[in-house]
Amino acid sequence: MGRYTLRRLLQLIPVFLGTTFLVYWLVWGLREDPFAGKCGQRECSPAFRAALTERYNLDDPLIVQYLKYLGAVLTGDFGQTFSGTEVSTLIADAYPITIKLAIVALVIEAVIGIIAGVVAGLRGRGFADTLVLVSTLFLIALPVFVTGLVLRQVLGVDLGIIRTSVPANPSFAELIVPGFVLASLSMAYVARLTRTSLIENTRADFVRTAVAKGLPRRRVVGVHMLRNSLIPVVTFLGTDIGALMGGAIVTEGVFNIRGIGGLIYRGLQQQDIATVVGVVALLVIVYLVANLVVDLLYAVLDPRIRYE
Amino acid sequence: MAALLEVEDLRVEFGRGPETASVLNGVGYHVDEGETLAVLGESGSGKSVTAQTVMGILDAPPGRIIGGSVRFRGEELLGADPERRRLLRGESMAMIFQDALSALNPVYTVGFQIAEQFRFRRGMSRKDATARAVEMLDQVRIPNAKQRVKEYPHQFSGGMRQRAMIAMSLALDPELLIADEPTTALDVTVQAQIMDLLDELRRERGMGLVLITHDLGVVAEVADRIAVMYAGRIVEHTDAETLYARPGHPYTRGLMDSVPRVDDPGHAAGAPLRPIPGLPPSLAAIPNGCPFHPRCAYAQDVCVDDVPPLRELGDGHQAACHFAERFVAEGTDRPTTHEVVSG
Ligand SMILES: Nc1ncnc2c1ncn2[C@@H]1O[C@H](COP(=O)(O)OP(=O)(O)OP(=O)(O)O)[C@@H](O)[C@H]1O
Ligand code: SF4
Ligand SMILES: [Mg+2]
Repeated sequence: MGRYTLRRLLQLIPVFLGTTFLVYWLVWGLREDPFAGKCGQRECSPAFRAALTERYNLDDPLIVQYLKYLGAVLTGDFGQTFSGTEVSTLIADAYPITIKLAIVALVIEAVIGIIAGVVAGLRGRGFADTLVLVSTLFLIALPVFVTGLVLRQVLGVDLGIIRTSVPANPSFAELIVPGFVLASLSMAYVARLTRTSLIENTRADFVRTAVAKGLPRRRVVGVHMLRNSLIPVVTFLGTDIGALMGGAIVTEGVFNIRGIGGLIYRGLQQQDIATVVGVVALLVIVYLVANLVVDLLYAVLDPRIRYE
Repeated sequence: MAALLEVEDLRVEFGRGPETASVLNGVGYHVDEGETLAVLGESGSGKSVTAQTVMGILDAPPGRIIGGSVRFRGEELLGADPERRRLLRGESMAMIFQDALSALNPVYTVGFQIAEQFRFRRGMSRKDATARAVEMLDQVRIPNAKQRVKEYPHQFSGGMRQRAMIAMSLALDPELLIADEPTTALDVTVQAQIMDLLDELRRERGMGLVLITHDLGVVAEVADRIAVMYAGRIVEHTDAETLYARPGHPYTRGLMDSVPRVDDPGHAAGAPLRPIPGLPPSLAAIPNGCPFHPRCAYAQDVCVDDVPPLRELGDGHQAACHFAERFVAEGTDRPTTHEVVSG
């Protein structure tokens, strides 16, 4: 498995280079004048232009610009925004909040999703099963911003249980409702995946063997059925970590959370190229690593899978 | 003294409405201590469903027990307390399955799955239980058991996996073992080894063995008695020798003609194999009268109208055919079914 991990890590390099170059080229290479609209209605002053051209190496060919940028990124320097703020400072401020939100969302979707799925899958057709199927369908059908706005309105405005706007440095508790909103869709999928997977395994030969061995029902279900049923669920959750770490533009917007999603959103809105490239480069790494972790986790969960 | 296992007039259905399949239609057999009963029959005749009902592991729903009796040492099991039945499983009666690869849990080691029974049925510590699991693997002659106990089912070869399955079934020292086609999934060379092992373990432990099989050769060697099943009924029941020499039911004779038999000179010398003509009946619409009559070369009017009951022909030989005495008298040296028809 060590060699496999190493090989997978090496494979990340071309993927990382390819994706970041693509983004770099999209935002820098494709525009005729990167400064258009940067200085209000007027043309930018030659001095300002010169300074920015210098800062972003715009006189070099694109590939050289990119390599210089990459070199800086690898030493932790994500460059500066047009207004001169360090992009790494922006990321350092926003990322902990996103990670907190992601953790809250992941815990919510894993715990509630799996419990709902297990209850529905074990009981067979009946009230619990129908309730889970209908409520998950409801969550899947609702766009996230609707769920978010409704909860903000009801819990925040009408009932006053939560604040409608999350403070700058939120605690875990303050992120529960936004986390729930962010998790809602995946939670519904986790519940359904757990349910289906459990039902499939109920009839598995090895479950019948476990019953034939005279094991207590608790153990048949908890050890023999559940472990196998959760393999696809854990894989799904792992993939979802990658997505959650990418920030949540909609949820962060609704609850006014200053995380990485909002950073990308503002970066795009203000055409702040350096911010966008920096954040995307970071997210590509996060996503690739999360994916690798999922694959390795899969091998741990299912011993039949061996990576050589 | 009560027999170890007595099954009587067992009736099981699957599904509902007009599609209801009558899978068992009055199955009965018994096994004594230390005895081997072979159960023969085409695919779908209900061999496994009978075994599952005895073990109490029938998929219900869709399965439904609608009548009959299963007694273990005289104790009625159908309708008994589920906890009581669970405690009998493993301890008093155990089962091994055809496909050990799917019957073993892929995500736990073989040792874990054997040790589990010692831990949760005998209250042993994990360590003691694992030591016992190694002993069990030793007993079924898996080389290097100490090492292999830590491996996963997919790391075992087919034969070794079936040995592990046997070890698992014997862990709690059951008095009755039901082996559902234990060798069907294996290479021919391995089949004999597994059969020998099973027979030896049965003898050592004085277990009763219900051996479900398609292999007539195996049956002749190890079975004390044979029950032949057709469409959810026992159609013939006798010892191996009688079954081969003087079968009382045309279906039994058909089964023997449809497989190669090395041990029989008459068939060995390239005599053609004759599969039984036609297909087993749909269990949702079993024919009137003798269920075998659409496929039987000897069928008469009476066969269409009257169900032949399983009758005693003397010396414990039973057959469910209106003309059983005639077939017994003829024996197998007589022309076979098809020659009679065409001649
Ligand atoms: N879980 C189930 N659901 C629906 N039908 C079933 C189920 N189990 C068995 N049956 C039906 O019961 C009938 C008898 O099945 P059984 O498995 O006992 O046959 P068998 O004699 O063991 O055959 P084989 O030699 O193929 O193992 C079959 O027609 C099968 O379709
Ligand atoms: S009862 Fe009739 S149909 Fe049935 S097996 Fe005997 S001869 Fe054939
Ligand atoms: Mg079967």
